[in-house]
Amino acid sequence: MKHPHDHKHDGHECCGHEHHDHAPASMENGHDHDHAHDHHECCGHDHAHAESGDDAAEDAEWTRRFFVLLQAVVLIMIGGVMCYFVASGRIDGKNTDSPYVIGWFKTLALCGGLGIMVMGIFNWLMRGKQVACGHDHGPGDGCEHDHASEKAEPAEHHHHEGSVIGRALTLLVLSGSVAAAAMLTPDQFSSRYLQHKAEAFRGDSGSQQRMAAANPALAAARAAEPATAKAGGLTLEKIEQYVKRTKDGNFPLSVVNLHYMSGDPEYADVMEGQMIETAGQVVKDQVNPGSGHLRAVTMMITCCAADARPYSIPVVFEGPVPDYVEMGWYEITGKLEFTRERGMKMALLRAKDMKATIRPAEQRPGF
Amino acid sequence: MQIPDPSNSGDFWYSFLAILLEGLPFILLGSLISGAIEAWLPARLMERLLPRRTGVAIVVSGLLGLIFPVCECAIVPVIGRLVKKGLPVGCAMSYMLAAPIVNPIVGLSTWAAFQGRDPVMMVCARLGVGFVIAVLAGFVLSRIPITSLLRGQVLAGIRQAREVKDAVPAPRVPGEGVVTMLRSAQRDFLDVALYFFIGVAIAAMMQTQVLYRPDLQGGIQYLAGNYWLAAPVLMVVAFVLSLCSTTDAFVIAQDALFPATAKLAFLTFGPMFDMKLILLYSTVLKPKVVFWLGIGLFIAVYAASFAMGTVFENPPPVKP
Repeated sequence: MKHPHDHKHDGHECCGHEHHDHAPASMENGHDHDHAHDHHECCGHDHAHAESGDDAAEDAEWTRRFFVLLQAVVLIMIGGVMCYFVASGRIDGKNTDSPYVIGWFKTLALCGGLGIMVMGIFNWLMRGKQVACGHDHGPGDGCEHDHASEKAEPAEHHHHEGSVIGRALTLLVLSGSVAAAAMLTPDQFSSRYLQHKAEAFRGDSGSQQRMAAANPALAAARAAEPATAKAGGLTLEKIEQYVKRTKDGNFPLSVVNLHYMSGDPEYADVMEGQMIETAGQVVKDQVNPGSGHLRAVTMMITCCAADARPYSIPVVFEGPVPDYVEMGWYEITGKLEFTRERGMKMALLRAKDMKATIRPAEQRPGF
Repeated sequence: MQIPDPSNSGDFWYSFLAILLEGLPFILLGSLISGAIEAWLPARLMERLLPRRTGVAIVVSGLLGLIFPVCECAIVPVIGRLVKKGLPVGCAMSYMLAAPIVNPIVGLSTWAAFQGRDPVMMVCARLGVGFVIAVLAGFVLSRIPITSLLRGQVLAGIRQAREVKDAVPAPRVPGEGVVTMLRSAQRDFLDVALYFFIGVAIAAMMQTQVLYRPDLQGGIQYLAGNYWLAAPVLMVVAFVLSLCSTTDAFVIAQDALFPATAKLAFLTFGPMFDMKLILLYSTVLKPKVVFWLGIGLFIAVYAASFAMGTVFENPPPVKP
C-alpha cells in the first residue's frame, strides 16, 4: 500500500541526506515520501522539481483532510443510527413487536453510539493537532527514513493509513451497510423464519427440566407434594391452588408453558381438555397448513435477536377464523388438546375466541 | 420513517442490525483499550511483566481473561496492539483464544444456562478445555517465526517498538496522550469494523436463509443422533452463528437433540473461531495462519470434547 509522506523542512540547516529527486519516491515497502524543502541553501543538490513536490504534498494534504472529514461523518452516522434506535424505542421493542437487544445491551448500545460519535467529532476537531509519533523509525523498519529528530508529525501519521481506494471502500461498506440496515429492517422476523426456527428447536418440548423452569407455578405444586406421593397424585384441584384461573374460568398459560407441557405426562393428562388462555403472535401455520390452522408464536431473547429462541404451538379454529393481522399480538382462548407432530407429542389449542391484545409485560423488556 | 413489512430479506437486515447493535460497543471498547495501550503503555512492558520463561508466560496469559475479561470481538484490536508493543506471539495467541472462554462472565452465563443439566460440570469442562487448547495453540504458535505468522503491518509495529525499547519517552504536551489514543482507536475501530461487518453479514445470511430451512432439519436430526458426527455438526453451527461467548450457552443449552459432548464442542469452538473472527484475526495474522489455526482448533476441540465426553456420557460400543 502506498502512503503519502510529507516531510517539510522549514529550517535552513542541511538535511543531512542526499536527495536525487524531490518527486515522490517509491520506497521498498511501498510508501511514498515527499520531501518538500522550502529553502534550498546548504542542501547542495538540485531542487528543480520542488514545485511538483509541493503540488503532490498539497494534494496529499487535501486527501488527508478529506478523509478525516469523511471518517468523522461515517462515525457520526454509525453512532447516530445506534442512538436513534435507542431513542426511538425501536431497539428494545417498546414501540414495536420485537426487540433487537434487551436489558443492559440497550444501555451499552447507547453508550457505544455516543462513544463512536464523540470519537469521530473529537478526531475531526483535533485534525490539525500535532502529536508525537509514539514510536521511532530506525533504518530497518521498512520505512527507510529517520525520524530520530522528529518532535512532531502531521495529524494523520503515514504508516497507519491504507491506500486511498482501501480507505474509501472501508467507509463505503460501513456507511452503506448501516444505512441499508437502518432503512430496510422490518424490526421483526418474518413468520416464516420464526416458524422454521421454532420447529428446528422443538426437540426439547419433552424436557421435564425445561418444563419446570418455564412453569414455576407447576414446579411449586410439584414441590408441595410429599416425597412419598405416588404417581397420579397431581390433581386438577392441586394445580388450581398454584395456577389461578381467570374470572372466565380459564387457566392463563404462556405459549412457552404449553410448549413444554408434554414434558410432564401427568400434568399434561390432568390439563387435557381444560380451557386455556394464552397470548402470542399469530401466524398462518406453515408446518401443518390447512383451513383454520394458525400458530401462536413467542420469542425469548437472551441478548440480541440473533439468539432469539421462538416457541410455537398450533391453534386450530373449527369454524371461520376471525380476522387477524399476521404477526399481531392476540389473546387466544381455547380447549387444550394434545396432538403428534413428526412423532412428538405437542400441545394444541382448539380455539374458541381470539382478541387483539398488546404484548404481555414479560415480553416487553427494557431497562 | 416507514418501516418495511417482514420478508426474507428483512430477516437478514433485522438479524444483521441486531448483531451490530450488540457487537459494536465491544468493538469500540476494544479499540479504545488498544488506543490507550498505544498512547500510554511503554513498549516491551508486557514482556517485562510476564514471567521470563516462555512456557510459564503462555500458561499465565491463558488465565489473564479471569482478570481482564474481554469478549472475542473486543480482544482482536487489543491483541494487535499488544503484539506491536512487544507481547510475545505465543502469549498473545494464548490470551486471545482463552479470554473469550476463560472468564468469569462466561462461567456464570454457562452455569445459568445449564441449570438442571449438570451446570458445574459443563462450566468446568468448558473453561478447562478452552484453557488447555488456547495454551497448546500458544505453545505451537510460539515455535513458528513471527514473520510467518503476522501481517506486515503488525511486524512493522514490532520493529518500531524494538527501536524505542530503551529510549526515554519524550515529554508530552498535556492532552497529547488523549489525542494519540483516540486517533489510534479510530484507526483500529475502522479497520476492525470493516471485517466485523462482513463477518456479521455472512453470519446473518446463514442464520436467516440457510440454517433453519425445513428441508435441512431432517438431515440435522440424523446427524444429531450420531454420536461421532454430532460434535462436528454443532461446531460448524457455532462457526456459522458467530454468537457472543456470553450468550451461546443459552442458545445451545435448550437443545434436546444433541449430546453434551457436542454442546461442549459448540461452546468451546465458537468463541475461538467463527465466521466474524476469521476476518478479525486476519487483521493481525496472515490468512494462511488463520486457515491452519482454524483447522487445528477444530481437530483439538473435537478430540478434547470426546475426551471430556467420557465424563459426561458413555460413548456407544464400537462394533467389531
